[in-house]
Amino acid sequence: MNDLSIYFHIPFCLKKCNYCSFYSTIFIKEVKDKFINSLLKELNLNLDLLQNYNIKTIYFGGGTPSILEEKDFEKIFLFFRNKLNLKNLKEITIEVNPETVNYEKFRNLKDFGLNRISLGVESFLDRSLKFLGRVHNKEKIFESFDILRKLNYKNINLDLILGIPKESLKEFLNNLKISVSLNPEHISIYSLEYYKDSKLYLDLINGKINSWSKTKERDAYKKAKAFLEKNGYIQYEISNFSKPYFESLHNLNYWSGGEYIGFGPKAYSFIKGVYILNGNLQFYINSLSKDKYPYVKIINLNKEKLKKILFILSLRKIDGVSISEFEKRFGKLNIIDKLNEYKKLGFINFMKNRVLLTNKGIIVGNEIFSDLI
Amino acid sequence: MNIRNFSVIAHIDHGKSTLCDRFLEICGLISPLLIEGQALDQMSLERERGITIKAHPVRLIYKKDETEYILNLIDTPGHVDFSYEVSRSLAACEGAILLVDATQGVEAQTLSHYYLAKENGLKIIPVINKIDLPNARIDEVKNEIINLTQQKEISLVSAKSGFGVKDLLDRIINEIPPPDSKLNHPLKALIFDSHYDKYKGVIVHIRVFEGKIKKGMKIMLYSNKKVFEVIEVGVFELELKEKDELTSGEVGYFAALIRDPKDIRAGDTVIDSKLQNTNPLEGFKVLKPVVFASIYPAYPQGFESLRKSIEKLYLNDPGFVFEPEDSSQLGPGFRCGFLGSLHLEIVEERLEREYGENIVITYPSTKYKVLLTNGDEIEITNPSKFPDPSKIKEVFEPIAKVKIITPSIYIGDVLKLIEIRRGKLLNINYLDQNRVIIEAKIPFSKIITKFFEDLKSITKGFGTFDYSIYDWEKSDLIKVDVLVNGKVVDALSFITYKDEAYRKAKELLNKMRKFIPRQLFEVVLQAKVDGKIIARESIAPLRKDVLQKCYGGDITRKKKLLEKQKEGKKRMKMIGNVEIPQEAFLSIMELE
Repeated sequence: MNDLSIYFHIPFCLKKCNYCSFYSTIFIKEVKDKFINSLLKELNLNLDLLQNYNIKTIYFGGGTPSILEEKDFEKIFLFFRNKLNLKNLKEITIEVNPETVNYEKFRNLKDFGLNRISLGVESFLDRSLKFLGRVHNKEKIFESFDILRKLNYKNINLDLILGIPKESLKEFLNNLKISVSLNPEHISIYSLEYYKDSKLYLDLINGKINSWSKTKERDAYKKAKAFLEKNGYIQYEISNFSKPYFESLHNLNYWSGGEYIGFGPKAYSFIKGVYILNGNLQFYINSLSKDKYPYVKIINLNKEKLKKILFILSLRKIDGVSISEFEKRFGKLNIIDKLNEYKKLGFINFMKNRVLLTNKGIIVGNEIFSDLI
Repeated sequence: MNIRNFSVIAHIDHGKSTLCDRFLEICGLISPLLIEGQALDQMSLERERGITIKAHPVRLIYKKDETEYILNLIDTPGHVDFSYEVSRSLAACEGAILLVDATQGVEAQTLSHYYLAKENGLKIIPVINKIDLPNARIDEVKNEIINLTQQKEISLVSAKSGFGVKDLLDRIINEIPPPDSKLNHPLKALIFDSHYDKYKGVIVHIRVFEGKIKKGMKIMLYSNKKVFEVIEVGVFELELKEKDELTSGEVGYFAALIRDPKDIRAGDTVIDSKLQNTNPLEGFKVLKPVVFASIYPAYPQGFESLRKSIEKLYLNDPGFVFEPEDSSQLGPGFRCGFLGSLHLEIVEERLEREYGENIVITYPSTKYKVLLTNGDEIEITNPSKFPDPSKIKEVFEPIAKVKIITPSIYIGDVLKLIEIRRGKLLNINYLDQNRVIIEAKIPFSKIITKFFEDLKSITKGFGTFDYSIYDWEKSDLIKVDVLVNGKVVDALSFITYKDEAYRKAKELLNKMRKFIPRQLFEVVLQAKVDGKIIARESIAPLRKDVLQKCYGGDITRKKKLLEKQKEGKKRMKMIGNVEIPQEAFLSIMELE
């Protein structure tokens, strides 16, 4: 049986953040209840499929999954416990908005088996949090982290954003220092991306805000990496750092080309070489009320294209790709010439049978990926 | 004979096509309701630019006093680059209508076309058009025409409303002489144009001067002595209409399964193949391109498609010449010759719009004569072939005689423009109280880039110009090479004056720099003259370009972004391993 990761897309938020382009709506309890019913139907529709996999990881993302009530989680976990074999299940993660953390709820969640928390910190500057449209403030981050540690959560990730307008390089590095002082197991650093349907994008093109220069971003990235490595965090992917053995198994599965099923509106699945996209919340609830799969798109890429995508995904990992393993799984790689060219320019390296990006290559990853795709 | 062969000559936009439409309408060839634009301007590009590039003849039947007349209207191109085509069209006529816009007055091409018509011995009927416009200056324009032609009888029309057009047709019948009938002579017909038909081969537009031509007859082209058998003759209505024969005085076409359009050249004489020792009609000239540029597909996989498009375009544009060329950097492409810079622009636009080609076009150059130290003289039409300076004794460049008509208040600015373009003033004459004709000689290379635009802008749109190339002069010319990361890009080489080389090189590199995206490594642009680097710019390497976040739901979205990024690169030309977008090549066109 193949390994499988499961993703739940919880499409509700207290308030949409200014930079966010993920699918979400404002939280309304009645809608949420309908959604949970649909989600359980979707799980049941996929029961046969699920029974034929080793479920390795579960991930609640969003949206703001921590907005759900305990009884909602209970229903979901009951399904898993009653109908599936979970002996290979290693990691259950939930994305958490600091604002939604309270002792009771997270004690119960822990009892359901949640063992990894990804805390959406983004910045420790209240000015920046306000700018991003986050609902929490700096104090709330400390408070929530404290509660989670008291409840004995042993695998916590902090998400940080690099490149927030008006934040200086020094302020960004200070955010990092505060993060490290909390001693989390995992830290993710993402460049602020200006997605087309976000408020920040409009502000940017209307000249209301200025993005960081590429030079400043590059410097921040280099300094962040050096600082984290000095403090015992190991970079294992372009934007992910962890203490040894605390890599996110769920995300590693994405980058290794593993299979996953996404439940919930606008969630993607990747099963047997095919990408499947669910419809939006309305479509989702409608379809499932008629016991129909909520698919709106099935992307069946040709083998060569898929191979390339999986290759560049794997290249995101710091230890790179084992060529022989990759070829065994997906077939012959036809890009060795190009890789040699990049090696000459110092952007990639070959080590034993692996190919990996150099530090110089990571910085300009997109340029290389877009060439390889 | 009840035939009248005539043309309408006018400056661009003076309303020639609208007048022709009125003629067609009065003669019942088209219904006024059907006219959307102008019936004779077939190419969309022509309609959009309001200018006629190619001459489309049409045969009209007009009744006057119970008698039927055949009017062959030979439309002429209105632009300076096509004066040879105009002169060939005029040679097929006995008369011409000189059409002048009442709001604009006599302009540069009015003059040049008028002189061409006079040289061809045509009867000229002066006409003022657009007389119903509020800003018409009928009396002034009358005076300008009288000064020019010494003719006092000037028809007033409004082609738009149709006013005066019927009277004008009567005047054509009365004043333009019918063709001489030389029916019993051996065949002599003048080729004034052609177009290509998939099935019948080249359709040759002719004016029969002597004898007749009919199906089955063997004819010979005088210039190349090639013999063909005529499979069809006919006349031009809105479409081709087959006839038994065309006789002396008539205008029409013949087809003879001529597959190579190069065989047919405007101005050539068609004769009976059995009677080979006849003299040709006067005036045959091989069309000589004066502006040269290379055209490359924007990306290499586009070459085959570009080749087909260029060949097709050539069939309907005999002034355009091309030959394959291989640039070591840009790959396979074509070196092309044009009748002028407008002609170049038209070809460029047609390739892009009509044929959907994505092209890179190089800096236009003219033809230079180079006298080598070993005594040989060579002609250079491609800067990359410019010899090593040590082998050059002297370089000669073509000089154009330019006529500019402008309101007199802009004389100062126009003289400055002439000076900037390294020209010499020959003389200034007043056309009337407010307008002058300025004559100057200017190096031809200096009028093929943006000269007309500059003239238009300094004269607030009122200035017009015309030119003819008439001389060669010795000049201090050198070649500037552009290097990208140490490699000479032959398509970017240009020939310029020694004292302008530095400024131009600097400007070009600076422009190119802005268009070339950062790459994974530093890109160095250099300009070199005679082995010496005279300018340098560099593009720092890419600082950061990475997707920060990529999880399950992002994968297909990121895939799209990456593919878009890749697609953008495909549109670029690879020079070594540097990606150069088309705009960087085009920036050279902006130079002056």
